[in-house]
Amino acid sequence: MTTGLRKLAVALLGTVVRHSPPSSRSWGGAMLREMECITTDWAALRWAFGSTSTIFRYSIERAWRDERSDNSNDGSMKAVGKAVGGLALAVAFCIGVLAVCILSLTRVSTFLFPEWHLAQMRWAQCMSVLGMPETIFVIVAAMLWRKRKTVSAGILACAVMLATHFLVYVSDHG
Amino acid sequence: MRISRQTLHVLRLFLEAPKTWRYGYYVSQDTGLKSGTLYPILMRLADRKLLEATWESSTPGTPPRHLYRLTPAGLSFAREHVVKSGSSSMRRPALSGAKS
Repeated sequence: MTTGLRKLAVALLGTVVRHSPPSSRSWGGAMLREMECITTDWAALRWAFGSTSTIFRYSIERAWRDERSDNSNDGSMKAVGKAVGGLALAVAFCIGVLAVCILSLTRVSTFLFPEWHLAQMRWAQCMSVLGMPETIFVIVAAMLWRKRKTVSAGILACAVMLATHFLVYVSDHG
Repeated sequence: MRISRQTLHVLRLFLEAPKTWRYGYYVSQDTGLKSGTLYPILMRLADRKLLEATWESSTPGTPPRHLYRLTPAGLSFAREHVVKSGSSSMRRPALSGAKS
């Protein structure tokens, strides 16, 4: 039976493969085929995230290499590809977390606890757009700091941007 | 050229049966590397003509999968670096639950 997680994993990787440049599409297709052999849904989702990040990095590296094939340095290409891919992954992660937090307030809480009227409460709104995401960002950034410094730095940058945006919004709107 | 510990694990695995074609997922399981680490290594090796990749001939009802093995140049490269490293191999499954 295909679960929601499995569908999400297939949709994520399938979309990335379809929109990837021809140079990395074959590799993306290979990763997508392999995912069908993974029985655990969470493992399939992790595989999809890893593969997505790989396709981003490879596409950027290839584009960079093609553009500067004459006087490029292999180490710097990899570093740039890794950095940009890591930052893109961090931004995608942060947008996803923020969307889930806001949806949990506006949709899930209204559905599960309609009498609480959480969507109208100011403290609950602050928690969903700032408290919860910022907590998740800091925890994930701390967990990734040693192994995925670029992604971690990207998440922290998003956390700072979100907090700044929130403060500016609150100061403007009271 | 300096190669990473993870690349050494991959090379060591391919050296165990040099003529055998391997699936990416099983390489991931055998080396303990996740897709985000394994595939960049495979891609780099393929770009340098050290690894050859092919789509398996498809059987009805199942989509074809990518298979990998070292090229002759890759074999000598792998032997040279694995011997030079001389470290023990790491074995733990990266992901649980492979379909048989």
